[in-house]
Amino acid sequence: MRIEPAYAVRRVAFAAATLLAAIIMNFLLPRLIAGNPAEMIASQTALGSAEVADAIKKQFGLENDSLLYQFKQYIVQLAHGNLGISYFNYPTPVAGVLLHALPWTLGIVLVSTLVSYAAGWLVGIRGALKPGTWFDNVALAVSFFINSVPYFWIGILLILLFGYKLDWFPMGQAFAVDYDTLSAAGKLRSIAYHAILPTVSLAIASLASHILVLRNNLSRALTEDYMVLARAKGLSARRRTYQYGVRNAFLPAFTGFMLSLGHVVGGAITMEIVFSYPGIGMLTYNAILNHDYPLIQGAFLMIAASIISVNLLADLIYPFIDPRVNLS
Amino acid sequence: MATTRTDSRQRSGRGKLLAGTLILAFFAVVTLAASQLAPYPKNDIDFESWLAPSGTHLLGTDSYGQDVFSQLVYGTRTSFLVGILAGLITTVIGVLVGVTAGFYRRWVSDALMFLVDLLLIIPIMALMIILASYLPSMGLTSTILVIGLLSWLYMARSIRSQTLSERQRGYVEAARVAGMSNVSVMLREILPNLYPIILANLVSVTTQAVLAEAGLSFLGIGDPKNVSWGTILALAHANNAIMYDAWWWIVPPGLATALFCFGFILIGNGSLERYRYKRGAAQQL
Amino acid sequence: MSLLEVRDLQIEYSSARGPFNAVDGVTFSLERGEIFGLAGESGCGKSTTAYGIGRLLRGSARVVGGSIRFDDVELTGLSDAQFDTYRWARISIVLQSAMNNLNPVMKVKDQLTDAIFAHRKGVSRADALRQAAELMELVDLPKDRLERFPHELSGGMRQRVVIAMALALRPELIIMDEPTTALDVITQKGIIDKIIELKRTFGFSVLFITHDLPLMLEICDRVGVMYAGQMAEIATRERMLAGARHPYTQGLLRSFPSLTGPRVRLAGIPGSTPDLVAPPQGCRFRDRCPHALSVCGSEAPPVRSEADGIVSCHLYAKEENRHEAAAAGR
Repeated sequence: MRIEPAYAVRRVAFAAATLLAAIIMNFLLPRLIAGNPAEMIASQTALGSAEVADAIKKQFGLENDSLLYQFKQYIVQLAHGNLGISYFNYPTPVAGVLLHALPWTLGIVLVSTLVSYAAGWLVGIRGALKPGTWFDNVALAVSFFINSVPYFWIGILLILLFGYKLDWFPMGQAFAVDYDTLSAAGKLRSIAYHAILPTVSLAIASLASHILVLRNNLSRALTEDYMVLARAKGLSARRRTYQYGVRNAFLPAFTGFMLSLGHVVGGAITMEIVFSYPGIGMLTYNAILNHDYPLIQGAFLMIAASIISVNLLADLIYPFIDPRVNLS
Repeated sequence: MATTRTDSRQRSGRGKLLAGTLILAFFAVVTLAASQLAPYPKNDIDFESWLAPSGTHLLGTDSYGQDVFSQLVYGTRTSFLVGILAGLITTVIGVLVGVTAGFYRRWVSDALMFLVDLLLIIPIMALMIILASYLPSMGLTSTILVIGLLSWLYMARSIRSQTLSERQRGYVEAARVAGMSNVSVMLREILPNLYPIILANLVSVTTQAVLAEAGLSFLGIGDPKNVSWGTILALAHANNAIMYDAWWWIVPPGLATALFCFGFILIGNGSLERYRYKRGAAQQL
Repeated sequence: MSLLEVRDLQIEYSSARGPFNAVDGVTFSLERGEIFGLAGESGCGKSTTAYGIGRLLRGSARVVGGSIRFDDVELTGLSDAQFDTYRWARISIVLQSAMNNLNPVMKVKDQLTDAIFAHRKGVSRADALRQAAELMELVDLPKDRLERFPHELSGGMRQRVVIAMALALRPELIIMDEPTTALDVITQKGIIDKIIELKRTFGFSVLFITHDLPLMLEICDRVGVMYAGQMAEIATRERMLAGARHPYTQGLLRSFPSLTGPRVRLAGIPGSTPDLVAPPQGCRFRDRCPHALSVCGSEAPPVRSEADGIVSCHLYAKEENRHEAAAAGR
């Protein structure tokens, strides 16, 4: 199985175009809203230092009125990994702030996404194979219920039950207060311990749609002609289910899965707030409230880049799992 | 001897439709008659704080001394209106864009989809937050508009793919040969066949709208004057309701949301079952 | 002894308005090396009969009565595990040409070999591949197509693959359900010729289902015409060409124009098939029959055997009936 070069080129071109559009949008955002980019990106008052403000203005070409020049400077700085300096976290540069929060987000959001998809798919498959059983009905009912409540409510409930009432898990934060005094193993344990509840909450909250998608897809695939053929051949039930059924049902679910992976970097805003977890979501939220424009821009760009690149990866992988796609 | 599966399906379809409509009607009534139904006026903070549920306060009081039950009743109005209206706006835009993109091929379709893909890149929640934080005051209308105008993306894609496959069916060709204008073909021929997928999406976007409103309120964006189920939760969280074991403050708003969405889901599923039944029970074979 | 003997087969479906027998007492037999056709309009039960024999019924359909004897073994009495040994090795199937009659994500070679692996334990990969290549040759397909996916083949090629697949284990009976319906006539002829050639080589029997009567007369040795879940007539090809017995068959034959004969006004059969949930008393074809007699409305027609077939019609039950019909001048 090889990828048609034309297809690959088209997907890469699209990704590049989208990335460019995202960069341009990001560049224009502070200018559109407030009108004075210097104030937005290199505010002397916010930074508290005239020298630093001037340095940034120079870096991003803000003295020059030409939009094109400013854009060129923006790109140059981007290439150097300079996203400006965060107001709220002064003197830490934006890039530093983002990188600091990234592992926490990847920890809970990535893990919960993977767990959620895996569990949801397995339940969905079982439901499609044995529709109408109590397992299927309970799974569906639970799915619909979860889909009908806000994410953060599930988080709050879990904290109330497992954190407060049962005292099994901590009620928030990424690690214990005495973190710095702990050994390396102790630190790891503390982190893991604090990560369980948020990860589980996130996993449960998104479980429903994964169950439903795969269940519906598999139900449909089971009615196709090739399933009749597989049965007529006397193939084992396992082979029929997986090689013929799930293999086909999985295809549309794959793109959704990759899309979710792309969004992982954005964190889970409400969930992070509920658990006071220092991820990118919380960071972005605070940045918006604090009018920390450099950080807002930086976060947005990082999220956009992540989504675009994961989407591109998905597009390039897809022909390997669905041989029909190559030729479009 | 054999079970009559399609027969029971028709009955359950009707049952679901009825149950769902009843639930929605219930919420509509609460929305309209909120002031009559709530035992205490809005923002009445004369009561003692942190009271557990009792005869006088069905759902207890919160940290400010407000009656939670009354809050819930008044909050219904916001959640209900936002859900329904934003859901409608989203559906209309989603269908318009989706059908147009699916019907007119090539550059119109590609351009629209490029735009959609671009907008999909930005996490919707973040966009809503930003937009909301830039608007001077987030009244009910702004909330509805913000949610409605940003949520149509997935729906447009879904409707577009369905339109694409419908477009290749014979009846479209027949209609065009008969001289029907493009708009006519889209409205009178293709649209009715899109009914199931539009319905499924309508249910989805309405429930999403209610949840989005809850999310925005929880984050402190959204109308500060209006109470909604989301604001109740936001206040509960901000005031450490967990520490006070005030489950009566935390659990009801979530359940109310669940019930509302459930009503919608019932209507959607019930409608679909009846639609499929009418379209041909023989499909079973 | 016949290869396949179906006696009084009844297959029930459930519907919104209650259960009904899509196949209601069908009897026929199929000899070794014979091509037997099942003809009839949509919904007459021909496909259901075939799937019932192959234990491939879907949804709510169930065999509720009658017997199916294959090589003198009662198939309805077999467990699923026992029947699985018959699948493909003794009874295989060719489905209608469609985009999804082959698994879209599996290569052609894997779809040819997985049946081999399932039934011939211990066969090596190399051996199975060799067999797959042989099968492709049988249907005149180039071997490089083995590495392709179904969507890379044309409709005609896909059908050839399906036929090759059906031969993988050299079965005794192949059920073919509208194998050429979705193909253009040129491709159709190629496929039909190939089927006849393969049958001559390997000697399998074919249960051929189609609504295309002229095609059926080209390929089948004998034809069973079904109506409303019952067998109206079974006749040899010669009998059919000479003029069938049952009024329904005659109506069917009249509905297809002849390429070479004189121009005649095409006559369809007015009316529509009866409701099977509450079938009419007497003969089910009565309302559409140009020769209906009074007895047709009250008594089910008996089955009468002739030298070259059977017919289920009151006209052939008694001499008097034929006189009555003639006198009525219809």
